[in-house]
Amino acid sequence: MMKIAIAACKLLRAALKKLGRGSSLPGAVALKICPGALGRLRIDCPVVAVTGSNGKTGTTELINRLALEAGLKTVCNSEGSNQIEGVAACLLGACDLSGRIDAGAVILESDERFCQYTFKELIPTATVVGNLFRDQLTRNGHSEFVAKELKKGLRPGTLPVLNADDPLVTSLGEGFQRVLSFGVSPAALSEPEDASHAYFDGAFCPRCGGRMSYRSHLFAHLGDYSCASCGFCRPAPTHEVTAIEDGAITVDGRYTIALSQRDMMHAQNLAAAFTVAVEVLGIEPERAAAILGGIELKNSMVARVSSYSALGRELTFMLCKHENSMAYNETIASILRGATPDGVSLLIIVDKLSRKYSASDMSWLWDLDLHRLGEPLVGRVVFSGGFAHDLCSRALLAGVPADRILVQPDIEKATSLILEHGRGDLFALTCFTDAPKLRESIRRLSKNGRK
Amino acid sequence: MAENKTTVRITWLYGDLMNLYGSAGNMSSLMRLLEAMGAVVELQELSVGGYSDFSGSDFIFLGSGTERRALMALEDIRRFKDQIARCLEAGGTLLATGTGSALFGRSIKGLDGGLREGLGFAAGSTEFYEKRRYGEYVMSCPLAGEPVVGCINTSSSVRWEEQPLFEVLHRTGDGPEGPEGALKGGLMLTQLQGPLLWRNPPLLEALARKLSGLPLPECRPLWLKEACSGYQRLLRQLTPPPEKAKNA
Repeated sequence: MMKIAIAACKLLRAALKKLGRGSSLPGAVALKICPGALGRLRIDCPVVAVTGSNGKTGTTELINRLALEAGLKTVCNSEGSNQIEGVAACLLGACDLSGRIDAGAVILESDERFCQYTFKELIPTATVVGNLFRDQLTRNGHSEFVAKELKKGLRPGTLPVLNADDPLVTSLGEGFQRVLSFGVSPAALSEPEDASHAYFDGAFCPRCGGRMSYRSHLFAHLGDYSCASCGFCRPAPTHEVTAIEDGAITVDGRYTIALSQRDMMHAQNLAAAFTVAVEVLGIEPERAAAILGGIELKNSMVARVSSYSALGRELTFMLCKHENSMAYNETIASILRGATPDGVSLLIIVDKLSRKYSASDMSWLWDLDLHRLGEPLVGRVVFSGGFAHDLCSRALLAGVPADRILVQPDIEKATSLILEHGRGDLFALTCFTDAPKLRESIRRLSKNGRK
Repeated sequence: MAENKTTVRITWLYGDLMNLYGSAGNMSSLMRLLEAMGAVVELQELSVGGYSDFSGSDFIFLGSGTERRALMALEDIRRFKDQIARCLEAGGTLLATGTGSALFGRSIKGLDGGLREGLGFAAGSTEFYEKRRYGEYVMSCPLAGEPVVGCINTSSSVRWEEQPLFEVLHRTGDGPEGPEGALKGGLMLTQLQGPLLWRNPPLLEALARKLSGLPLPECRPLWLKEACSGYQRLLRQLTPPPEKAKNA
């Protein structure tokens, strides 16, 4: 059945490719034919799984491109889904009919909750866990639930590569004899992070429940933590960023990596990729650092930014993710960090929460750092989409002055408002579910002129 | 001459532990409305290890947390049992949402299978399990006089043997069915979670009137008007058309 499953997968992939569609369907069909197909693959090279709430696509791309440029032939699910069907489509599409994969490294992005299914029979050589944030709580419940589900996917035989700065992620290493870790040293921080956030998930120890203290914060609940009750604390990372300056990071005090984007999460992702390269793929550290410094990511914060012109103004669109407060909070923080004295104005659109499920829960709006829209550099704020009124109410309760807020549920009219009344640099924030509506609005406004 | 202002004493329990799904929105909106009505709000926040006598509170709130954190809160809250009892006996109101509501029943069975004694203020028990369920609801609410909308995102089953706080009118998703919550004197327990009061202005206003004895402001504050617009939209969205409801 294995050969039939592989053949079916390859045929379907080829057919769908001709139609211009990438899909997990071939994997789903193959797994129907041969449910244990993943465990029957013959893979003689390291298999690296990458998972976590935010940044796993970027980290997967970093590791894949690093391996490629180091001369390794790779197999990576960079274009498909990150659930078991997508991984199956990728691997069965890449193997020969005997199930053998001819590669120097296999790099697989995986949904956090699906690791337990994807890696049931196929045990990765190493599993990178980047972070665990509040993400799609409608689907995922909460971070502790996700951590518990993810732990089921960390089976004996895999080598956990964990973010030392995230206490919940670090706690996943309990029970393993050997764990690798990466992080950003507190010494690398030139200035303390603004700790004013809508919520904080690091107050209590994930191991014993005792109250934790932090010597320094990176962002959200990531930082240098310790629990006085049980001694749980940030481990000394296998490799860590020891300096961030002049557009570059230094790893382990010796290896310099140029930064293509200046956000802390990217620094963390680079540290993760460096650790995998050196410890799992056997690439020399100097070489790994040199290659990483030259990678411009397709899936990066920079790539998630696009600029548009309409009604004589420039509008910068920054792709976020609904129900993921970290995505919005980090985007708002980066806009404010880069604001000029002319200030910034923002259009925030929340219309449809998900393409996959129907939900109307707006609890996550209370996890957004909307209070930051009350800072002096913010000129005008326009809220749009079906949740415009909820956003407005939440922002007012967070202390944003009423005279800088406009509410317009209609996305095209709202886009027109920000273009006409926005002060300073203009930004639009929304999720990929609502992005087409924004792009269409801009297109129509550009074509038709002033509304 | 000094103005005699109504004071409303609020105690917010475990705000840093039971802080999931926007629980903070309940406190934020309630306090802002009470202030808009002319009340003076005295807020006291208490969490693990802290101590204060809050038996004289007019209102106690406990929000939702993870199952593990709810059990942590349960172990800590036992030392406040007498205070809570005195508060309720004196006519105080207590609202607990999501997993926070489970603490006030007779028992909680954890994921480890262990049965823990609850505070026992209401007849009922909770069991935590692995599977998660999510449902969105429209419920009738006698206190508010208008329906309540909200969601339950849970991996627990709760059985109350008290007067329900709400009756389910419409449900989507796979959340629990049947009457919802428990109402016993000033004790209000519900599995509905998140910023329940903020997203339900009629309930928020009814509660604020009850706690302060003051009339609502002649003109609603802008944040409340906007919350009302959001509420109306959600109510329309979650209420099936009459034909469909009839056939269901």
